Amino acid sequence: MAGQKTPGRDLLCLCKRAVKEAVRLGVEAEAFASMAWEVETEIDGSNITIGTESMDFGVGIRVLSDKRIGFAYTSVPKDIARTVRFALSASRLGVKVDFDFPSKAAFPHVKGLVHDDVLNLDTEQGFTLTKEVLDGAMSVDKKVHVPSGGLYYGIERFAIVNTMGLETDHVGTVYSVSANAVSGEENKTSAYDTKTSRSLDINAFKVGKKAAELAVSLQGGRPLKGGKMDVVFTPQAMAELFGHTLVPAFFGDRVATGESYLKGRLGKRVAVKGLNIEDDGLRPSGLGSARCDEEGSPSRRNIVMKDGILKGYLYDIASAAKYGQRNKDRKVPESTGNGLRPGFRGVPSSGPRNVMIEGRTKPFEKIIASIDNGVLVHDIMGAHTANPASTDFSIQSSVLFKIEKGQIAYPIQSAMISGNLAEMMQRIGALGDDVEGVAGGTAYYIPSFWFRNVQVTG
Amino acid sequence: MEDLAKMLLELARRHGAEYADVRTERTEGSGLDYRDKELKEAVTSTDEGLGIRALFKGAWGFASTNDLTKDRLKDAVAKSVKIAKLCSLSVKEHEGLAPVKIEKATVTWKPKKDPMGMALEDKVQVLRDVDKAARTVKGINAVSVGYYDTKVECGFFSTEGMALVHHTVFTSLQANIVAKGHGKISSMRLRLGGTKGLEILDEQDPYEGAIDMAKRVVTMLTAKKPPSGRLPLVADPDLTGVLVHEALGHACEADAILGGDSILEGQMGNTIASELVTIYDDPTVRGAFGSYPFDDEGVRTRRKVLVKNGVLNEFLQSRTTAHKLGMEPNGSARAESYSARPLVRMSNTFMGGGDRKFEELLEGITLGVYAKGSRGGQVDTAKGTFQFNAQEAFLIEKGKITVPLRDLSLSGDTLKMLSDVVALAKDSRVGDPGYCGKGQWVPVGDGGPHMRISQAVVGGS
Repeated sequence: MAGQKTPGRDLLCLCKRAVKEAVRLGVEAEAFASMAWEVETEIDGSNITIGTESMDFGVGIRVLSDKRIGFAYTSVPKDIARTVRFALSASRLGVKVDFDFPSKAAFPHVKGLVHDDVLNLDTEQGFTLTKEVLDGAMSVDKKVHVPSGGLYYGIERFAIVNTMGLETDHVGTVYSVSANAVSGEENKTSAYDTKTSRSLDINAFKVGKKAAELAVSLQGGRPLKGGKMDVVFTPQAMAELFGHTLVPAFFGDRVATGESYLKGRLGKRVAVKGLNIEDDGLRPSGLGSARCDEEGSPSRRNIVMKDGILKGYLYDIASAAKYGQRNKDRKVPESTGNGLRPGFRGVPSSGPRNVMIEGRTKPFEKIIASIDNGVLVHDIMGAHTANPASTDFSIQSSVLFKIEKGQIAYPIQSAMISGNLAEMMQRIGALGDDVEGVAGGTAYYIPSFWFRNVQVTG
Repeated sequence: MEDLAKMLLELARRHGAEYADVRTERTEGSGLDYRDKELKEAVTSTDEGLGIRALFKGAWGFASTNDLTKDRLKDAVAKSVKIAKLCSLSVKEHEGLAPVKIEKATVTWKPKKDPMGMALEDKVQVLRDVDKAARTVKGINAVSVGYYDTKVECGFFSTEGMALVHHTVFTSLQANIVAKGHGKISSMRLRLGGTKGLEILDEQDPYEGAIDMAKRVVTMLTAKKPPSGRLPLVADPDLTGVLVHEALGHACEADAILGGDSILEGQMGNTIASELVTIYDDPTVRGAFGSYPFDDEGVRTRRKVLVKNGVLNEFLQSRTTAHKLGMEPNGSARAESYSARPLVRMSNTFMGGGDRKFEELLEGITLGVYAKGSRGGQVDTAKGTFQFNAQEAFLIEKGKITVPLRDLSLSGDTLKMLSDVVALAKDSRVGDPGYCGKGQWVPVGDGGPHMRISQAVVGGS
């Protein structure tokens, strides 16, 4: 198995040591060990300046005692037994919960998570690929500057063992390329492109080239006369906007605390007909795929929106137990396989795996051709200030173009776009036929979006 | 750790490194999050790891690991040198280290009251009591209280022969207090802490502090819209500290100077502020949150005088920036942890005090504003502009503090503001603990005296 070729400690063995101590103390417990091994190269100007290799691993332990939960973590193997005792004393102070750790389950197999080309990538080859990013940018214009960018590649692993008899692990490879290109002397314009995959199937040259082309094409930007107009977001911009507004609204944690506009709207229309959103923890080669989530619930494909109707939320164990809907057959609520953690140093909360969005599409060119007055937005800033409870947002973009009479007319210096995404979901003109994998913290498989009648300020 | 580090350094040299250093770190800590009258999270942790940095023909390589098995460590050393060698093939601007004194020392900053000696239950009780204290004030709607303590042992070892070990403890408590009423929401944050232990709770009573702040939060609910325009401003020590840190401190970082990101480039020795203004960055203040005896390149720290009587006197330097600029290193290289590379950072940044009493600062102001604390803002160090929102503000009328003002915003040019300083109170202090973000987070302190500025651009936000 690929797992044996990867570097680092035996995570299952570390977990078992923790669970053994919990059994000795007579408490329920779960040990989650994770490891991230990563090599990173950074471009700074026209140099490849800094390379970093990092190895980070450790164990997070949750103890459940008298229905109270406690957590502690360590990266020091000899401290494992002590850490279980820390978690136990924290549990005595913790909040009451109403769930058990999951038991042993038959986990589905997910294809394409480990790729030998990433496992075998050596440092020299990493530098050659980084050079390709620079070459790609320079192929557009020798004067383009690349102040940041580069690549990282590595291995992610985790293992989970609990006192309910569950024992499982995960391994995956990751490869990511990015470039931030700046064009112009006096009036600088900049653009960013990034691609992430589980294998080396990314063309590093093209990433540099795309960022540079965009930066160059933004030169000569004009001020915008604001007003209500059509807005087309590219997959990259849309993923950023969705990631801070719409997607968190599906999280069980947020639905539970009322910080979601989707609370209480199951079965209701929340977007235009034809719009489907699913979150699939099993997508082959998906960046968020694994056989189970990070607390041992089996991964699955969850349809959260079908034909514009809200179908469900995304739960981890705790939020499912507290607020989940009962199944048709009246079984206890269950996790949807969306318990994610920030590595071994944190506890699970609900989060997305691979978010896939589809709907009624039109070729991208035809979308542009149908717009009389609008903007095409490649990148946005400030989406994190959006509010998932209301989905009100106000974002800034300086990577956008004016669309006039069916043509991409000229670049715009900068604009502010504001609105309410929940309401805009009812005013989608069409989706592009250009589904793209976009990965920041989450993996999105998303097309361009065309919204009608949006407030844009110059 | 010292023997292990020496072995790794020897290995780095054998791989061809011209220079290498190893930073080791072991931490043990606990963190508590008490919200909505419930303990949401209690986390105890131990962490251990090391980072190795290697220099080869003007290029750096860096590797970090918390897997301390022999094979992994050897791999990390080999990788750091290999990366440096590969970088050296394309690097155009050669990196190097300005010379410094080679030191061997162990420094222990022992807290008066070791937080490890207090049971988790008792710490939680403190948070409960702070919450209760704040809620005794009518109008308080929500309170969240956080507590953190971390015991750190860090080591620095280099091929030049440096061998430094430092033991310290960070303890901090913060409370976010929210009031609701009159159709408005208002909030403020109380912060206590330092490179100290539980004595932080004796030095500044958190319960009294919470009650006092709760009252102030409630007062802000009835605050009026501030006037806008150019007005005389009196800033409290916290706000002075934020202005000094954000607007001037970041512009003094030598990497900003080298990157063309600072308004202070080429200004060394020039008058950039009123002659009343002297600004320090001082990691040697015992007990302050941003204090450390050696930086993360092994340089012994000292008090830096960034601005002396209005004249730009010194930048913040690491050994690498000092090498590039042909200046002296001054102990400003800091890394967030063993897994991060050191960058030029501030420590405790504050303005020295003047000769006035606070009341005297208000004298002669017909119409002005008194602003306290900050709830964030933006700074452009390249353009030298800033915009901040005060946490709390009042109108000054005929030399007296009168009505409360809400959402006061301050903006302007950093150097203009520093030139418009017309009076300083005697009460300079290194203020509240905080974290400064620059891709990495490091603990800092900032402060100063009450400060009067002849004219500042104020408005509602």
